[in-house]
Amino acid sequence: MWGAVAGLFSSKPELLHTFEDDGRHGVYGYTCRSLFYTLVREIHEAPVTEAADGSRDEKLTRRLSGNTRASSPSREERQQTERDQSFDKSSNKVRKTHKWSCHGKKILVSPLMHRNGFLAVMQNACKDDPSRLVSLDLDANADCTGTWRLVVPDGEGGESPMPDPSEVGMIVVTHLFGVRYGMDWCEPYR
Amino acid sequence: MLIVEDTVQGGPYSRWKAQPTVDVSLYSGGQDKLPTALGGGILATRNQALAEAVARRVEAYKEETLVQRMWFLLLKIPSYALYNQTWALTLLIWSLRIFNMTLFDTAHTYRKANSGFDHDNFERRPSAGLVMGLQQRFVNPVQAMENLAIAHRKKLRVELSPEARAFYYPWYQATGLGPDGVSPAGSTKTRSPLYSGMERLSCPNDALPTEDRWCNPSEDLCIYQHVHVGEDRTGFLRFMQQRGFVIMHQQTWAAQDAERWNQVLERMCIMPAPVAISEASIVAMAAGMEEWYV
Repeated sequence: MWGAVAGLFSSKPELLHTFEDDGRHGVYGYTCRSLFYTLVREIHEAPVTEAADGSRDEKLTRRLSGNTRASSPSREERQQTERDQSFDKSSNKVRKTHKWSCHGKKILVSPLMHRNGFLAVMQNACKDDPSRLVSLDLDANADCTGTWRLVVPDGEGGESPMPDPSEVGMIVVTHLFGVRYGMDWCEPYR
Repeated sequence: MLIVEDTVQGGPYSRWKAQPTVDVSLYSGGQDKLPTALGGGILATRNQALAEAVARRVEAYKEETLVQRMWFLLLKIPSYALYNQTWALTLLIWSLRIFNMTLFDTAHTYRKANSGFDHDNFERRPSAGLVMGLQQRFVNPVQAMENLAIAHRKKLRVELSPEARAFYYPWYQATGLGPDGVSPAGSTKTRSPLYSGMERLSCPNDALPTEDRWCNPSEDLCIYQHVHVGEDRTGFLRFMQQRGFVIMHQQTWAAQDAERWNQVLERMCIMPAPVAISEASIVAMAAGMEEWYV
């Protein structure tokens, strides 16, 4: 509490931080949902991302944009980008504003999330085609080794086919109610 | 393709390490999270280019002003007092009795009006004060607080009789692991409306090769603790309220297939923050839960 008060009067600190214990790079944000919103916009609006040394990381670029081709964007892709960038900046409430789509890719999400946070961001990102948002579930192995299997429930107690990895742009897993599990089940989608 | 891990609701930060499979992990520093920075959040990734790109975007947002940050902190003082000072809660309860108001409704209204973090303003740069608070908490997480939260969370479970525990935490019963079992509400594949199929989630802790393969959920550190209370959720809320405990409806919704999930979610509540209340209060809360169950 007092640290937060003292910080009111400090100079403008860097938003980037490197965690020395495991080498991750951290970005501080106004809220976690603001960061998620910014991340999704970055993925869908930035076809070119510069690497740390200023050079263009084409492999990363293609990965972030979901574009597996190394060539320049097509006319259709450029039009899509323009549409993506045309959201109304007059209000920054996410539910009212952002209109970008997810480039035709599916977003796989864990079944339960907070409605007004990450879920709202993804629902808006898939607004043009809600079927792109696929709710996942996890199933344990029969031998109870702690390895999980990814499934898409069909709503009637069965399973729908899993989307092909080439159709998937993002997987978002929410740890809720203390659910913690290994992420091995994501491996087929790497 | 990116794999994003939303750890906003769980996982002790001090023990968390980015798993190789995950590209991005997100944490909240909201008031009702641990560690808390009274707002804010962190995006963590091994992808430096991505981190820098996101940082550039956040940098371009309009900055939270000093006044906005101070006002936000001032609004948190009542919450701070109610969480930490018995006299403040006692005063509130007596005041509500005088004005014939209910604790649940008041707490619910207050929480909505004065949330632990800003629910809007997605395009805002954190103020210097907020960033400094995040630095203090996330670079040097408070291990003692996390340990306390873990201990208190477990305390509530072990204070309950096995029968009551099975009622309030049906997932533990299904796994047969007792109070350290798996909490599967966010991941169970429910073939019938309520909790069937939970035996699938049996996942003995001793079968786990490493701590990275998380199956022990007893350390989730969102400040609340979810319990299943059955069909008469309103009755449970009133009963516990008469004993001075503020129980809230659970705050989670299904991404899809809401009809199926709501049968589960409408029977769940979130208990008071285990880290913020004394062991004596936890024992009293468990006694109330036991009485309601009987």
